[in-house]
Order: sequence, then structure tokens, then C-alpha cells
Amino acid sequence: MRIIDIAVGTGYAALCLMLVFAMNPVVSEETSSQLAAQSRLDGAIDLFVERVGLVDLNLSPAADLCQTAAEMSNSTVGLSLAMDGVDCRPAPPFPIASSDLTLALPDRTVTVEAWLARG
Amino acid sequence: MARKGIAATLASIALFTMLVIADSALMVGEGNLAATAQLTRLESHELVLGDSLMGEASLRVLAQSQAYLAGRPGDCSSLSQYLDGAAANASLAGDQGGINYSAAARSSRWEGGAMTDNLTVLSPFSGASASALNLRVSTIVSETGGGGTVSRTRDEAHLLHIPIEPVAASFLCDFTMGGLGRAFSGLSPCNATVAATEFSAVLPSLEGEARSLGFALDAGWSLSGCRVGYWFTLVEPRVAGVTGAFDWEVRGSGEAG
Repeated sequence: MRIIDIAVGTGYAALCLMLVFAMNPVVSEETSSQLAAQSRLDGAIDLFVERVGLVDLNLSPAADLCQTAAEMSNSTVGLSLAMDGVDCRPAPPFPIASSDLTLALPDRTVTVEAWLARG
Repeated sequence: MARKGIAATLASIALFTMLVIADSALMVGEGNLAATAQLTRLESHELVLGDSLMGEASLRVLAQSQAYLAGRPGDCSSLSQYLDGAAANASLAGDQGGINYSAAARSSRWEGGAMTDNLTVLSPFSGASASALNLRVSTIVSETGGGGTVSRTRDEAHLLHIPIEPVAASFLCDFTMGGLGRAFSGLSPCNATVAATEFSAVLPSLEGEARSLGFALDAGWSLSGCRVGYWFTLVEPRVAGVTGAFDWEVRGSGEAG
């Protein structure tokens, strides 16, 4: 009787612990903060596109656009561009969050990526 | 002793049950927060994507109009119809960041006066200019994200322009046609030498007028029997277009005698 009692108690405890580990709220919290960061990065992309303009994104030399992307980046939010086979200021390997926008322009396709670097 | 053991087991079960309930409540709360964050994220991305699609579709329309103007000279006798032909359509569709999108733009010539427009992403071609070729571009952008949970449709009209000078071209058409017509009219007796003299006399003033309005004039003539045929081309060089600089050409011709 006592052995059965201990076995049932231990089994139930193990099941509960498994459920607690499985339902880890930290994962959701990380997802939420990452999504919030991505929304902020969308704003950075919008600001870059608005400042440079689609006409210049279509026509300007890649080096000039990369220079502008560098000027609009700071220590935490970075902007990178990919166009004409050039990938300037690529995002670090494991950013906290990143967001990108691909622009299909008449003469070239430009991908603008914004990323949030780890401190 | 046995009672104490059972009590301890029941207390443990209650404790663990509460732990699981508390954890699941926290999980549901965080899940709701994540779902809200996901919706906000989709909405912000749709907003950015929508802005860029509105500009991209309009830019493609302008690029097509520019290709039409650069590849096909206008005719002085039908300049208005020629400019109407610069209207264009463009469409885009695809999937980006989990958002399914489509954009369709169509343009028509707009003959109102100068006016600003808020599609500043296409600066310096946004807005209508007093002297340029103005286009009214109607664009519909549709976006659907999150399996249909976040949808957005934008139906907007914007004024854009291509900086050719049709008003000046129209004036120069009339001015050049009139000048050459007067020079060759009443020539007698069908004398090529006299025609050449008249042409040489009138050409510098015509070229000067064209130059003052930013055009280059090239003109020529030929004598067929007693009739003089003349032609001219007006070229507006290096017009700054959306896909680069291009030459815009207008032609005219007539005969006298």
C-alpha cells in the first residue's frame, strides 16, 4: 500500500513537472519581445526607403546607397542592403531580431534588412 | 503513520496541480501577448510593404511612360493624342514576410495645373508640374497576412509627372512650322537656290527660339517640282527620367509652293 502510494505520488509529480516544462511561458515572452522588436525595425526600413526614395534606390550606385544605410545605422539598429550582387553591411550571425523588405524596382531588385544587434 | 503519508501525498498532489494551473494561466497570458504582438507585427509590416508597393507600382507606370516617350517621337500634328498614349498599366504580386500581396496601377494624362502630392517616396516626380507631362496614377494595393487575419486594401490616386516640356514643344511646333512655311511660300519660279537662301535665312532664328526653350532643332527641305517639302525635329535632350536620362523628340513636316 505504501509503495503504491509513493509510486502514484511520484508519477503525478513527474507528470506535473513535464507539463510545467512543456508549457514554458518564457518561449512566448521571447517571441513577443522579438515581434515587438521587428515592428520597430519595420519603422527603420520605412524611414530609410522614404529618405532615399525609390528613384534613387533604382538608379544610384550601390556604394552610395550602402553609405546612406551606414549613416542611418547605429550601435543597436543596423541596416543592410542587397542589390546587384552586392551585400553591404550584412546582418550579424545571430541578431536579436531582424526584418526585411524586398523592392522590385524597374531596373533592380533591392532588399533592405534592418536588424537589432545583441548588446 | 499511514494517514500522515496519505495526507502528505494529497498535499503534494494539490501543490503540483496548483503549479500546473498557475503555469498554464501564465502560458495563456503570454500566448495572448504573443498573438497580439504577432498581429501588431503583421500590421506594421503590411504598412511598410503597402507604402513601398504603392510607390513601386507607380514607379513602374512612370518607367513605362518614359519608355514610350523615349522610344516613339511625337508628331506636331497630333501631340495631344501622342501624350495621351503615354498612359500605362503595371501590376505586382507575390509573398513577402508571410504577407500575400498584389498591386495594380494605371495612369491617365492629367491636364490640371501644378499640384503637390504626398507620394514623396517618388520625389522628385511626385505632384503635377505646370509645364511637364502630368499623370494621374490610380493604384490598388491588397495585402493579406496571418492566414487572412490581417488584411489591408488601399485604393489611392496620386499625381506624378515626367519632366518633358510638352507646352514648349507645342509652341515650337507652331513657331517652326510657321517660320518654314512663310520662308518657302511664294517662291517663284520654283528656284532651288532661292529656297536654299530663304531656308538659311530663317533657320538661325528658329534654332535660337528652340534653344531658348531647352530644345535642339534640326530641319531640312527638298524641292519636288514646284513644291517645297520641309521637315524638322525638336529634341529635348537629357530629360531626367525615373530610369535615367532620355532624349524626347517631336517631329513636324509640311510643304509649300
